[in-house]
Order: sequence, then structure tokens, then C-alpha cells
Amino acid sequence: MDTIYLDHASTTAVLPEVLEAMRPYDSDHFGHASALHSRGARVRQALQEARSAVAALLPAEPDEMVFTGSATEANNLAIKGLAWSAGQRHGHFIAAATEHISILHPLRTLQKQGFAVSFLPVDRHGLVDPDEVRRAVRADTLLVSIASASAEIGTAQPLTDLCRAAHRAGALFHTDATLTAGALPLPGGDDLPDLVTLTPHLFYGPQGIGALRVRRGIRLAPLIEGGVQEDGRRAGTEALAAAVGFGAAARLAAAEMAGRARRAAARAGALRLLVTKTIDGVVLTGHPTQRVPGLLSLCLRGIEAESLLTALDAEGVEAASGSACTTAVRKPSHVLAAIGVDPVLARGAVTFAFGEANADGDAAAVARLLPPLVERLRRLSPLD
Amino acid sequence: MESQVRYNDTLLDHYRNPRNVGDIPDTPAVAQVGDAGTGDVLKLSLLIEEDMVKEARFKSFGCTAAIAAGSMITTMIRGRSVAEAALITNADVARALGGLPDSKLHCSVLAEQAIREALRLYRDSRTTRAKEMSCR
Repeated sequence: MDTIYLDHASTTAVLPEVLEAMRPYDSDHFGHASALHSRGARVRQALQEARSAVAALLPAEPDEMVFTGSATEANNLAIKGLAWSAGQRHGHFIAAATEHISILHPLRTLQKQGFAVSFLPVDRHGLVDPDEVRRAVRADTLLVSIASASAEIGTAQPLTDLCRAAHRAGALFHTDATLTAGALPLPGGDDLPDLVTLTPHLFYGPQGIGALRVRRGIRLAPLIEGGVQEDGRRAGTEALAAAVGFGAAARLAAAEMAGRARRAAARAGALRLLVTKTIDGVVLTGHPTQRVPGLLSLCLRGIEAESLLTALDAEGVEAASGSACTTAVRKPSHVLAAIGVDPVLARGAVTFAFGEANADGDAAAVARLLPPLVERLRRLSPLD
Repeated sequence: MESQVRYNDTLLDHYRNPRNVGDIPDTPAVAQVGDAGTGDVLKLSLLIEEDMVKEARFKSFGCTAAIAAGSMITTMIRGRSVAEAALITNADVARALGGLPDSKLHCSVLAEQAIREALRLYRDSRTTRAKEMSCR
């Protein structure tokens, strides 16, 4: 069965060109970057080219890019690596209340160790006010961490203003750009966050690899110790083919960013119009305009999202509810709670994330399927 | 961690074609259990005559498994005596559904709660009626 994939905010299919670029590095061009023979030199060359391509996407310097195993690892490295550098035992972190659990959980660990953490509120659209950052920074603040966007509500943060607010107050700034890397440009020059997390599997590259941009001069304690790979910041044999794929996906994303964003936004916009016209009790979530392109997020009154997703899946439509990393946890979404969505309404939170796997007719097809499915579930509900 | 759920065909059938959906008017045995903000809500209505469950209907707000569990218990409880119905456990519900993943076991617990609560309301109404009768 042909499916309509509307989960591009959790992962994407690797593009054929990217796969083609990766393939030789698992076979003919295999090798270890630390080897002294010429095969090792060729591997070092391939890794360097990949690193340069990934850096160019931000843009940053190639030697500022640390390859990791995932965006989650990059977030952990940013938070714990900074906390534990130079043997620090205390210090202060600031994060938005809506951060992903790969930020929240490391911060919780640091709290248990004696570090202080402040969580910033967001407005009803999910935006962080730069003034809140200024007010929250203390003399011992080590880092302000605010994601570039939320996968649950699609709101894209004003990164330039947030980064400037942190810098003016004397703090470093980290952004988890997982959702927007390759889809939206990052602020340039001095406004590029000091630490940036990204992973190619959100922009048609492979899973199993991520990267953290670390501005020159910032010292991080490695979380994984052993060899001197990644300049001693992340030990372990490099994931050669994945890194090459990361580089290839980054080059394509840089070249095609505007076109991809335009296509995805048009399709999500079409679905938004159709759904709000044909279904009652649709509450759009997140900011109306400052959004990740292609991500439609909404709550359906009187519906529990999981049962709707099962029904959609049976029709070949692959959508999501909230962040892929939290759907297994039966707790109300902390993101929706932070923007003031009623807990019962929050149970009906669904995201439709469009991308390159979609065709022009997809929005209309989903819009035709949805009303009877929603109606059926509402008839089943004992709630008023 | 294999955190996501794949449902079996029995369960999916009860989700897609739920049996006995609805309410029963004028019966005291109507239980609504669960909390919509944090979990699932199951409403079970029973028509009981001469200590036999003549009819059972349900409504459900919740995940796929919660809807299927609601449907399943109506088929399990219909035609049973009150005493038999009271013996149905969450494990029986889970088994009837072809097994539930660990993360969905609470749906069968909710189903058992709904049965117990509906039967309790039935017994309470009988006690009240008996008292009323004896007062006359």
C-alpha cells in the first residue's frame, strides 16, 4: 500500500543521491581514520570533506563540528560537557520549559549534582521572550539552551534575539536545531549560537549520526572517553559512511532549502485550510506565522490522538502526536501545558509534518479521510 | 526500548468495529471511570433483569486499546449473571483481546473497574429499592 508520510518532523527517508555517496564507504572505501596507511589518509580526507559540508550549512568552521551518534548525544554533550568542563561542580543553566527531553533529562541530572536550572516560560504561541533570558541570566550562568523550534507545535524561536540577549548578559547560547537545520537558515556571524545541535536524518540524511557545533575557545568535557577522535571531544571510531551521508545531505539541503520549505509549507497550508473548514473543534497550536515550514499542529476536541493515528494508519496515513521521543510516555505534553492548552484538549494533539516524500494531492487526500474518522471517534466518546 | 505498540487483529477488529456502542436509558447501572486529562475514560451501561445482564453498552474516550477493551467487555458480560460478571478480571479482558502490550494493560484495568462500578451501582439501587419497599 502506498502511504502518505506526514511524519517528517521525526525522521525522513535518505535521498538516493545521499545513499549513493555513502555506499562506497561501507565497502571499497572502508577504512579507519587513525590508520597510518594510505587507506587511512583517504578516510581522513572523506571525513574532512563531510565535516566541511556540515559546517557550511550553518555556516561554521569545520574544526568546530563534533560528530556524535545522534542529536540527543549532541544535546547531552552541550549540557553535561559544559557543566563538567574544568571540573566545575556548580553553575546555572537556563532552558525553555518546552525543551525536548534530551535537554530536560540531562538538566535534571545536573540538578541532582548541585547545578541550578531555571526554566523560562513561553507565551501562548510557544515563543520565548528575549527579555526573559536577560532577566534570568546570573553571574554563574553557564549556558542558555533554547531549541530552534518545537516538533509538537511547530513554533520557530527568534534565535537572533535570544542569542543576543544571552550574549549581552554574558552567557553562552545553545540551540537544538534538529528540527530546522536544513529547513530554515540559522542566524549568521556572531549571532550563530555558540553551540548548535543538528542531525541529518531530519533532512534526508542517515540516522545514527549527529553533530554539535562548538564555537572555538569553548571547552567541553567529553562524555565518551577513549581515543582522540573529534579532537578529544568524542572518542570512538568515526561512523564513516554516516558522516559522508551527513555531508552529502547537508550540501543538498543548503542548495534546496528554499524550494523544500516552499513546497512543504504550501502543502501544510492546504491541509490547514481544508481541515479547519470541514471539521469543527479544531484548535491550531503554535505560532501562526513563525513556524517550521510544513508542520501543521493542531488539537481536535473530543478526540484522543492515539486512536485517531491508528485509524489514519489503517488508511495509509502516517502522522504523529507530539514528539516521537515522548509518545510512549503517558503523560500530558509538557509543551502543550506550557502554552496553556487544556489537558483534555491536549489529548487530541496531532501533527502533520510535510516534506519531500509528499505529492501535491496528499493534503487533499488526508483532508477527505479525516472528517469521518474524527466523527466516528467523537460518537464513541462519553465526554460532552 | 521497544516503546511503541503494535496491536493484534482481534483488538483492531474491536477498535474498527466496536460492538454495542451507546447508552442505555433509565438504568441505574451506569459507570464512568477514568480521567480524560491523564488517561482514558470508559462509560459502561448495563441493563440487568433478574440478576442477569440483558444488555451492555459502552462509550470510550481514549487510545485504540481503551476503545477495544470497552467493546470487548460488553460482549463478555452480556447474558451473564451478576455473580459471573463480578468475576471478570482485567487479565480476562486482556486475554480476550488477544493480549495487551505492557504499556496498554491499564486499559484492561479500567475495563474491570467499569464492570465493578456498574455492578456496585446496580446493587446499591436494589438495596435502596428494598429499603423503600420495606418502609411502605
